[in-house]
Amino acid sequence: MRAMNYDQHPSQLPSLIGFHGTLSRRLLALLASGVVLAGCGGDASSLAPNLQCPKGLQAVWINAAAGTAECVAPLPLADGSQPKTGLQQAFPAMLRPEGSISSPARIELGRLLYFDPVLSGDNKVACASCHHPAYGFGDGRAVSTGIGGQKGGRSAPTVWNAAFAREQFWDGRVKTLEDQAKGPISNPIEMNQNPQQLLVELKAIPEYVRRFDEAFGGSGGSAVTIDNLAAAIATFERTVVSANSPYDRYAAGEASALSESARRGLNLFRSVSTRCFECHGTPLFANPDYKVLGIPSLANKAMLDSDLGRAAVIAGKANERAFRVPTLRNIAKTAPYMHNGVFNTLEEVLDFYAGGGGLGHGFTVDNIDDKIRKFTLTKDEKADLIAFLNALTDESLLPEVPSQLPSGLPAPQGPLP
Amino acid sequence: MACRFAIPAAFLALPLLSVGCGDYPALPDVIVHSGQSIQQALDQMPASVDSWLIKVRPGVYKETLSVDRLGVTLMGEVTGTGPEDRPVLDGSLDGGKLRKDAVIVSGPHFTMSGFTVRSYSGNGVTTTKTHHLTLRDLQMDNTGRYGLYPVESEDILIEDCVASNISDAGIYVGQSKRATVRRNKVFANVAGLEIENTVEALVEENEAYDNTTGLLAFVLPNNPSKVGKDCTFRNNKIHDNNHVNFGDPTAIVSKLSPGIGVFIMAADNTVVQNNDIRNNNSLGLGIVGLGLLLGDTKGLDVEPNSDTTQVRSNTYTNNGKQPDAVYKSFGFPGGDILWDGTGAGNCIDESQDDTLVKVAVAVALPRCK
Repeated sequence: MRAMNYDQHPSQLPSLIGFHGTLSRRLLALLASGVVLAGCGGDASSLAPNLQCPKGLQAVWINAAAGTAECVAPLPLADGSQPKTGLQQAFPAMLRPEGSISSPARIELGRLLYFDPVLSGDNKVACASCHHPAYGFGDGRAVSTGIGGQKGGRSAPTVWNAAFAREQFWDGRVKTLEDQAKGPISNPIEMNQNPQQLLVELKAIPEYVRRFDEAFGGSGGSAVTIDNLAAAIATFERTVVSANSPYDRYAAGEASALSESARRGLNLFRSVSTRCFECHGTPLFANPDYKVLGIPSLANKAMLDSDLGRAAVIAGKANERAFRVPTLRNIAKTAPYMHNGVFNTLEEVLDFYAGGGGLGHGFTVDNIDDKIRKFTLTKDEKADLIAFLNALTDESLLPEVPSQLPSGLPAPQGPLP
Repeated sequence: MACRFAIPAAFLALPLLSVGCGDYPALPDVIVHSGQSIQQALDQMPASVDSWLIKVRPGVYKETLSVDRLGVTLMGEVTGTGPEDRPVLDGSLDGGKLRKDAVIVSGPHFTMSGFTVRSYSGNGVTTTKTHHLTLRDLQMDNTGRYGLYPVESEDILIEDCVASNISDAGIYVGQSKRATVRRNKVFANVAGLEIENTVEALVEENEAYDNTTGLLAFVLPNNPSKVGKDCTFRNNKIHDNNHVNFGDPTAIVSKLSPGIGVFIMAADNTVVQNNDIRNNNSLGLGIVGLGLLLGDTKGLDVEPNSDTTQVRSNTYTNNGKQPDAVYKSFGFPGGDILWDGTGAGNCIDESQDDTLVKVAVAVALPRCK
């Protein structure tokens, strides 16, 4: 459809051609890597890109005139069609650094690296150890276990739809997935790996050398760099997209996609009594802001958690104990909940909100978000709201755990013991 | 949009083939009678249409409505001036409990007119992330936190509505763009009519009385919109806003002092013109920054001052004569106009003899150039 748009707006073509010219060196590299398969003459833009994408992903043009294409997750209204209801809304563009291309070679390299414990200092911790597809891309634990059995201070956030966030980590200390991916590798309690040592290890594995060079246009292992490693992992993570839940089908006009209970739950979700929707807004069910709820400490629920969250990144009373608003997509798969995993079930989370957040626990939280207020929720209403939250589940693009890794190490089947 | 139907018809070679874009056959009116369900009528909107008129006869309808399709009009039939001479959405349940919400809207191009909405605990009409909304001749009473609540919406018309006995704002427009709010009456609410974090709002010919605070243009932190500007309050009657504050004690609204006519906090480019402001016991008009409310404004995601407010040609009568204790606790005297001295470019240009405009301050507002 993007190609159709270019046909309709020929005024855009000169700039596209200019773009082509300035990027010729990179395009040549991409041609060598097999990314560009559709550059077949003047009319390439009218054809669908001929790119072999991983299962479930779609080939789309990056630049139809230049014949560059990439693989992306299908999203509502991305084809330019009209919304069927007011609930059906286009997802925002993912935050991507200059030069980011979701080529099949980068996605596959990223998938292998994501599951490969070779990234850690002791070759036992992979990204997937704490963000595992079988655990909703979390680890099912309050806080994660890193290298040597060490416990982290916060709950592993899901990778589902992380690509749509404006900032990463619970406190938003980095913006892109690329920058996020680099963090845990050198963190002493997560993977504790010296990046230079990691490059030495990767360059000694022929399959990685070949895949890096193919994906990023290098030779003899010249593309094996930390930046490219992070780019590959981030590219893989941009395919971990959840956008086809029963809710999405309902939003697309399929009235029977939600049960009566879930439909009542949808109305509770967007009631100003509960105010769920005001922070977990459609279509992401997330929010770029940082919110103060007054979460209890994991170690002692009678105490306010002492983690200052966002205030460590941007100082100020307003940010003390503020955390990123996570997506609710696939929320049924990502227990336990909150930045410190203090709540085991969605029921507990709803009870916390209905009680007025931290104020309901008797904590002094004078900067608590104004939308966190006590509300009543009957047993039936709670069941309806949970039915709705369950209707936000879509794991149709769940990637496969690789059966074999280039390092020869075993891919994690779940969190570390 | 209309062309969408002509194309499949042409493929099917039906008689519809001859129907051009825009003049396909009109759908029959849908009429909901007392005892029937309005939601059921909404749910029967065919997938093939993009506008749907539902006429509702007078009667009491005990429902929560959700409107997600595009182009819905809910038209209440008004047969007289009484609250039940029109359809009533009534949220009361057995045992004195209340339903949460009356109407929740995500569908664009929505019009609702001619209803009474009463006895809900959540909201009257909520619209979210939608556009082109008309709310006309709605009588909202005791609908919970807000009466009319368009949020994150665009191109909004609210006219000839009444909102009363509501524990936050009777009429609220928040996180939105381009709203006209006119000829409404708001009374006995905590906040009468509030424009929050919104860009371009024209608020005119409304009457706000017996609220804790009458008209408000606010910017508050931690909201989807980070700006509130270009709100004009003109030709409104704002009087006797001295109601005790009955807002949720954990909400910001509970901090409003009784007795304030017009309150501008952190909003920019607000124009206050030709309003009749009288008998507000603490203050006629206040222009302040967020610091007054929050103390520390460090790290906020919004600019905390009211800038470039213009106050022109209003009339002030008998304001600030008996300032409320909450108001006095801020250390200000009662009066017609208060400016806390924060913000840039705020100014006054009153046609009324300046000696009659008793500035409460603190800091005297500079003259507009």
